Amino acid sequence: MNVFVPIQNMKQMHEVISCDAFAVILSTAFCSVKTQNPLNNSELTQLAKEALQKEIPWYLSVNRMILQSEWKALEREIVFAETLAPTGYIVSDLGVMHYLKKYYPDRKIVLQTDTTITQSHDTGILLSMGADLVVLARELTLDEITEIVRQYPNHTAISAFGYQVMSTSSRPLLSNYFQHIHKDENVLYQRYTLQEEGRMERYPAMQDEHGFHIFAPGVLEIFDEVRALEEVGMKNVMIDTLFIDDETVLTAIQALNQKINPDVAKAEISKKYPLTKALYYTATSAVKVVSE
Amino acid sequence: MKRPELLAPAGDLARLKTAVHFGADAVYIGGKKFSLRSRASNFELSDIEEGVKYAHAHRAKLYVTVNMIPHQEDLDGLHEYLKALDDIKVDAVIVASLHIAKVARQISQRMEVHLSTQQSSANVETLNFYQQLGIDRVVLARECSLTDIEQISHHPMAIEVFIHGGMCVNVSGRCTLSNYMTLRDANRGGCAQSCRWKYMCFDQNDRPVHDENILFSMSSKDLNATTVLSELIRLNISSLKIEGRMKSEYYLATVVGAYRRLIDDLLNGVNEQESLRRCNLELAKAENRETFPGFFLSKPMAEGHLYDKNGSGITQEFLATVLTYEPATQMATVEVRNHFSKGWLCEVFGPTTDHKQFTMTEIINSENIVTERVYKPMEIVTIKIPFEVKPEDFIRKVRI
Repeated sequence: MNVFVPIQNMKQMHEVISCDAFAVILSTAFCSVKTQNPLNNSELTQLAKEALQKEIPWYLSVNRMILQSEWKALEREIVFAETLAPTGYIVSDLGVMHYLKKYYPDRKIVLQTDTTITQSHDTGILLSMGADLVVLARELTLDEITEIVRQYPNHTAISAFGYQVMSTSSRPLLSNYFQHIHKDENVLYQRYTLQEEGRMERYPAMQDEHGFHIFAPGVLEIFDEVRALEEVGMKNVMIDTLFIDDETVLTAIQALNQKINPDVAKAEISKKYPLTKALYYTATSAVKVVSE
Repeated sequence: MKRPELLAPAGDLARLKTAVHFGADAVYIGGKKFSLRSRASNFELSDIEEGVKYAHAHRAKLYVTVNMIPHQEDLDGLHEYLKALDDIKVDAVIVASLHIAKVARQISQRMEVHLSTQQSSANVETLNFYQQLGIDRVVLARECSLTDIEQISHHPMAIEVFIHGGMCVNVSGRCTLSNYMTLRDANRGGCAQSCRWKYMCFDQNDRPVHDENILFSMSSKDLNATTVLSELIRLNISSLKIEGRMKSEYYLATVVGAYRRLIDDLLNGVNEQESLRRCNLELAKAENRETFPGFFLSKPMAEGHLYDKNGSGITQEFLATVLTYEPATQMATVEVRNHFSKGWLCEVFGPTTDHKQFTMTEIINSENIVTERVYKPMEIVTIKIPFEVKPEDFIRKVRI
């Protein structure tokens, strides 16, 4: 299985390579969201060079909506990244995909919108219009994913491990709240949890330079399901490492690569994190019915 | 400067007619299929056809939302539905799925395809991308500032901008809060507005950091673009959109009427400050949440949120609509919407009736009995109004 893994430092780079990660994902403060440790240019350069030397593909994460007023800055970031010869880009904005394909046609484009790619027709259109790999929506069930993967086995991926993002806001919601209640909190890149007043679950949340992100309460684990999807041809999975310690990330990579028994991996990881199948077995098609 | 389209929502035929009557250039509605806002009173095909005829007869356009993000199971009947919309001369469909956009384009070159804000389009390259798919118009992400919009406005594709109403606090189309919290899919019409709930907040050491009396909430104030409307008109934006297919007839009459007047005033060079003042006074009579200018001027800080309450309560109430008026007797027949009593200070407003106030002095109920109070919705009663009013004018209570 091709496992794409976000990393933030050289130690993680070497560790994930030793666990046969397929590719590493690098993040910067301007381009990326949902990371606690964005890289500066110097760090990005070092890690990119190391990836090239170790012959492991590396991708720059541009996983956010880019406003038109930010476009010149984006172009500068891409020009700099291009000096480091990335394998490709992880993008979530179709405009960014269109731009990269137009000006850097040799680069691989992994399209990860988190939601919205929910059936094979849209998947096919996106693949025909610039995406090399499409990461399917997180709210799909395993059955729905299986059907799409059957049609595009080489060009689809799923999120297979980690805290699943539920929503992203362009507003700095945590600092706005603390400002409102006159509380001095340094929120940037910090992990918080939110608990709805009538529920027991805790939702991890964070704020970065571009906004606010809130995540599902448990850590997604679908090691067995990935094997089943592998049988219908799926070759690529992404893992989300945010709020997860390095040792657990390595365990997850090894389980996905079938280097260790998935049951052993689950037992180890569950000692530290609540595990969940997220929405893989839960259709979320219910609607509120109102009598006419 | 070109005259921008004022685009209003409608949840049923009555509201569609109200929106057109009060000055909308186009109205968007949801069909029973493939549409978000499943709780809105969506239209059967026959209703849509009637709506098209009504809109076209009044020189307005009708758009139909086909804006769910469909899963495979949702797609049955898509071709037939889009063909039917084209056959009954719907002017445009508003879509969020690329597949639905492509099918709509294949089915009709006449019927326009508008890309929903659910796809969060915020830059020129995104418009270039959608142009390849044959999309005619893009509804920009609400996160766009005036600076973004100005730069994008040079693109040849028509663009549409939200100017009023509820705002998703999260990036539109990228939110699964409802999926996880209520098993309802916001992208398929099931949004539970979990963002408006109250949350306790804990730091990384698990210490509570919230205020017990003011819990964390993502709840946004509603959008109000009146202060930047002249700038949007200057940028030649094709369409200015009001949110709210679930809003009431009264809300639509007030908000559409207010924006109609403001747009016309700005185009006609009427004193902007005075027009703005009048418009906002009017809007305040229909709003149930506080408003702010969204992202137009800057990224929203704390003042863009509702922490203590989700609705502030409207300041004025919808009482009745005018059916007929007899100048000789100054008696009007009206259809009751909410209870009212003798002695109340009321206000009449309509496309040509300029917010005139009167005190309710005489009420005759549907049984022809003089009464102090009426309270049955839809009852036809007669009241005295000491100035001329027009059919379809609205009457509301003035709260002092």
